[in-house]
Amino acid sequence: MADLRNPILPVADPAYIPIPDDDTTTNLGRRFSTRNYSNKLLSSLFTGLILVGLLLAMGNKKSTHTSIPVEEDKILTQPPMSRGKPLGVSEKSNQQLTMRDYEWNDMMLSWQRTAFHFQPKNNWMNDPNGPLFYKGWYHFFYQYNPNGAVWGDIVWGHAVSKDLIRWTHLPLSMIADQWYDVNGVWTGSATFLVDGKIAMLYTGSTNESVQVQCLAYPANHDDPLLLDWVKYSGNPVLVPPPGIGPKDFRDPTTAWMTSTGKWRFSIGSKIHRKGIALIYDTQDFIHYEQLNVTLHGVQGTGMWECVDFYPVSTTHSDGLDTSANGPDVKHVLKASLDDDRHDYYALGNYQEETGEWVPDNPEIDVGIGIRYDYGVFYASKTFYDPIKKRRVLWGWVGEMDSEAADVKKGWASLQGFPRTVAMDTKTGINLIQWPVEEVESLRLRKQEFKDVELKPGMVAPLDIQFGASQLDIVAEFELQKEVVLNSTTFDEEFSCSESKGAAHRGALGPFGILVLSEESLIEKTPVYFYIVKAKNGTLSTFFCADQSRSSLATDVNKLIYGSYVPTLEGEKYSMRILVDHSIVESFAQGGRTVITSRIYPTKAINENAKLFLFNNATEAGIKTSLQVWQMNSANVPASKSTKGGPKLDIVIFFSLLYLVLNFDQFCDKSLGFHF
Amino acid sequence: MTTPKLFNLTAAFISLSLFLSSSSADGATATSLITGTCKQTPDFNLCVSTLNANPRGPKAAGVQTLALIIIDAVKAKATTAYADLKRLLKTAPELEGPLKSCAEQYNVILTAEIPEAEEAVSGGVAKFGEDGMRGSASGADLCEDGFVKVKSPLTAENKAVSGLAAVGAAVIRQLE
Repeated sequence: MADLRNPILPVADPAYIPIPDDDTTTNLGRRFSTRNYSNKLLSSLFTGLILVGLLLAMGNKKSTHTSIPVEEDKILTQPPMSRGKPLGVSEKSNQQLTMRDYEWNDMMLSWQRTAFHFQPKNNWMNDPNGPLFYKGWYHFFYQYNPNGAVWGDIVWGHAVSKDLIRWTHLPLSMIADQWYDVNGVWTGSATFLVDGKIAMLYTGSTNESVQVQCLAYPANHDDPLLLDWVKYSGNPVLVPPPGIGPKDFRDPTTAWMTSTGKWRFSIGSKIHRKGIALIYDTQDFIHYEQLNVTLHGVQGTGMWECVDFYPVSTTHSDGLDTSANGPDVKHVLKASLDDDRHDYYALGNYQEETGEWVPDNPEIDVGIGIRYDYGVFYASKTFYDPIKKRRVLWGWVGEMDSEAADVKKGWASLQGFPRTVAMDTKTGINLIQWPVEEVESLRLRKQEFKDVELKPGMVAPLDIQFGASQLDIVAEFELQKEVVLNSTTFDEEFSCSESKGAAHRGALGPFGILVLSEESLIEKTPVYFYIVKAKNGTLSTFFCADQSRSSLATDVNKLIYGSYVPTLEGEKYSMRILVDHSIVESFAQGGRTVITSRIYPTKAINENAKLFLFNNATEAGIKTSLQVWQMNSANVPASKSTKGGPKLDIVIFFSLLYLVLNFDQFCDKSLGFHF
Repeated sequence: MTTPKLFNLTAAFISLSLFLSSSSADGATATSLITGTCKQTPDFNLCVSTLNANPRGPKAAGVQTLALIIIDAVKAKATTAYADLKRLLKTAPELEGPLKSCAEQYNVILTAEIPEAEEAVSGGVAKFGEDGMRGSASGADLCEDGFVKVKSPLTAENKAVSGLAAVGAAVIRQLE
């Protein structure tokens, strides 16, 4: 229901003033008229404009603004649209229950493909499989349907990269050609043996749909591309043990070395409603002994899929090999909960002698506590990169539109941008996730905005000189200190998902950034902070991403995602956002809380996607500084000229000058353009 | 001091009672699975009648079988709807626009979403089955919504698919 006191922002408003900037080159082309001047006059005019334009382009590497005229009293209060008719299905279901299709056209659909996220050329993808680094290449395998844009007929796709960003797609590494995996070559993980060889364990769904574990290995260990794989002739090497259901036994982890010299790994399962991680020991990956204890289990969490188990250092932020252990090491146990399609992790201590892992804090145990990501992120898996000494996290980011739209556009699903994971040494109770540093190689032009002040209720358009569909945004916010101190709104119960999104006004929030937003704000995606003050004065920070007004389409997810994020004394509120067409990844406080969103605008696409700052708090003003980078496409080969900017500009300048000075000749030869 | 006739009558009565009670005891076990499952769906009656109409229904040992029966029933309804709309494309050319959109939707339902649901439920990865059923329901809804200014000639078929697919999603949910 619309709140009539606060109407939707007008499309054309005389008070609307875009942020001024020094760079006017983008307007030159449009201002060029085709009136009937003589060629010579025209060509000199053309030259002059080009020269001016190029000089400005060369000189203007970044714009710095100290003041931005803003719209007064523009209030974002449209309530979120209704979420669709409930069907009596459990509320834990993540998606819209009735997803009505919209008239998607080719332009809207083709815009949705990402520029720098992993996705195959077409069809369906889900879980990441067996990620590893080998002989100079990062390898990525994934659950893939070669026959359509919905889940089914699952086999292993394969791609390689030198930098985790630019991928070369290779032929399928494993297909469903054995009785034990004919109904699906499902998820698995890689282990590096002592001699450097790779053992890949994966789940096969047999001809009777029983879930079994199978061993595969490279056909040729000298091939850096690992093109061909061999399935062990004695597969399956593991079948569901007594007491475990034949369809509750899947997704083996990477193995770690124990002090007895045996390898140990885990497989998720469940017993009634208790999600558990089974453990097995092996010396050869062919014969296994199941331990009579589980690594861990948590009542009420249901089936644990895609278990992951790895050590993190408590003192530094480098990654550790999966077999590492010691006094300054904690272990992360992670599970994907089938019930709610979320990935949960907990920190704890691994007791190798007993084989068990014990959480540091049972109240936020696996499945009932912290999530890697409060948006769309599932079946995630880490691997250790020994070259850069980091642990890298991959995660499946599914679609949040309708299956019919997926079939129409011919593909479904992305992988999250690879992130490093490490202990947050400042808090000691959570992990930090951050896009891998190679992301910076995609940065092109930058615009900076310093010390922008927004009063309560304000929206400020950011005049970005490049498209707003491919961005890396780093922003810091501060609230007015005296307002925070004197505010008497206390102890508000708040949760992102149960709030009204960015329209939910509080004394100290929401404030943040509108991404993928249309000029009139009829479509917008707020990513923001919401601060709650307690009676004793302490502040709690919430970080949310609001999909409720992200699209006029009625068949896309309109939920609001987010979570509490720990903020330490003296820290500003900081966020980083990667925008890549239909995926938006938002990181708060250096990666303490992450939200991945899928956005499907009908209007805010291509040149109509814009960026705004906003402050919808009722009491506090904010001050913010941000940097916005234009992001290159990963499909463009990494060229060195992007770094040698001025040199390239000079080459263009002289080429154009030559062209223009010889304009007469071109015109006389009637090349087809006349004025 | 019973007469032969009375003896026969009593024997007949006792055997009849035993026969009736034993068959209803089996029926009660299967029915309680169906009843318990269908109570957690948006249309209890549709769920029960669909499951009972299939000979495998009352004998089903678990929810997975019930889910597969519902998916089969959705497939049957969708196939009928598709046949009807193909016929209408010939006989009602004035409705070509919305009918073609319907054909697109039912194509997705029959070639992508129902096979997805079957494979997922058989394989024990129920969530993809749920996706397939919910997608089928919304596809039928969209077909119906496409008839904006005219009365839809496919209302009965669309409602059948939509209602049953919603039941299917709810049954599959219980497998997770």
